[in-house]
Amino acid sequence: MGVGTVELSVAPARARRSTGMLIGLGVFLLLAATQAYSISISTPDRDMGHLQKIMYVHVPAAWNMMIAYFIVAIASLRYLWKGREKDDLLAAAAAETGALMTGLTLALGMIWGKPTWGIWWTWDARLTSTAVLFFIYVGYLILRAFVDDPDRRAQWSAAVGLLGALNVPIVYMSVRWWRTLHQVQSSPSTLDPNYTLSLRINAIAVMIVVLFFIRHRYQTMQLEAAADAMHERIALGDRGGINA
Amino acid sequence: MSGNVEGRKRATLVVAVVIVLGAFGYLLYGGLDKNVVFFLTPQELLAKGTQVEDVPVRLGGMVAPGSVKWDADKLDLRFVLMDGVKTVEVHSKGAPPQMFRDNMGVVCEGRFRNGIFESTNLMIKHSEEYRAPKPGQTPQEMYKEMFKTLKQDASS
Amino acid sequence: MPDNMPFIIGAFALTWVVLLGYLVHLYRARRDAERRLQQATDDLSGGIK
Repeated sequence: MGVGTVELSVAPARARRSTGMLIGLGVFLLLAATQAYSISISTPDRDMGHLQKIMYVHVPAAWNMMIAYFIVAIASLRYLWKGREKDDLLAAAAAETGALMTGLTLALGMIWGKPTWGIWWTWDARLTSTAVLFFIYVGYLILRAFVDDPDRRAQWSAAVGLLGALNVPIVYMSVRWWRTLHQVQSSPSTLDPNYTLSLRINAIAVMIVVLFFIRHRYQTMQLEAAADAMHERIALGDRGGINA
Repeated sequence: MSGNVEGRKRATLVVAVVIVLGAFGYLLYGGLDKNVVFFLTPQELLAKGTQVEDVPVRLGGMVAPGSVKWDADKLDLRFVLMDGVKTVEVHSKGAPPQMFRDNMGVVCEGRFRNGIFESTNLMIKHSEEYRAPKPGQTPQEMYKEMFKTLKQDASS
Repeated sequence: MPDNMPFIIGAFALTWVVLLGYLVHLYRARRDAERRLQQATDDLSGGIK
């Protein structure tokens, strides 16, 4: 596996990093702009007042964690189908961003829950299933960190990645399948038009951030894999006596 | 030396896996199992009779308009919780969450004793779609109805 | 509702800390990966020479 895989050289990678940094700057400026605009156009909610604005960070984080896990599922399936290292790396990159967004969703939900529901946390079906999702992907990342053999790591990861992704529709539907404290999904007809617009543009901005994260991490993982492959060649070469 | 590092790595992996599986199992069996129905409605609570007498349980419904009696000196709160079919009187100590008011969705944790629900923890269930059922409806129908109206809302 | 301001500010601040923190982590990881690749490239060509 190691010999003859990805051949990457450093100079183009450096160039890509500079462009990556520029794109990153742009992506975050866009997010700042959508947040500022939504805060400025959103009038206080009749129940929550200004607390409603937490929706613009909590809900985009939740939606985009689902997009990240969708990428994990597709890439993991493709890896199991074709056995290509690239798909494994893409799944890993998306899983890392997904876990980050799940953690953020949970934390923001707690910050929103305390002043509205009156509690930081409770074990209803939505909150519990989201916590389970988070722990599965934290486990996924721990697994990757501690398995050294790339093939075994990729196979186990693909299995855990798919298992975790199966949980995503459960999280989404939990508020409809079970009686929960968490409210069901809002729709444009249950939201003030300003709120709908604000939520949408923030969701898109966060989506761009998330896709940027995944792409950047994926590229880095390819560089790491290339370096590992080269080291393996050196090791094999030493043993084979080519250098003698 | 590398063997030592390998051994330590594997030991850490085992510990990590045990922690993750432990957390996972606790969440599933300690948390979710009992709480698939997060709360009972007043009608469901009353239907269970002695089964729920003085047992920890959650009760959810709407605050009956005009029923709230708040004694700020004693931090003593009394109100009636309704689901449109039945009502239960709730007694609670301490200040309620700031969004507590008439017609708000509320979930209380506590025990049902001698016809009064002694609440130890009050939570707001925030949802515009949370509605009391029309007289004669069962809570199940109410929830079905709630989902139906939601779907209509979404398609209109 | 001035009471709730810490929650609102906290939510937005946390979002930025998490996202920017991860961005910094990503750039560091990229630099390290480039360094490792450079090292590996040097070792490989050095070994063959």
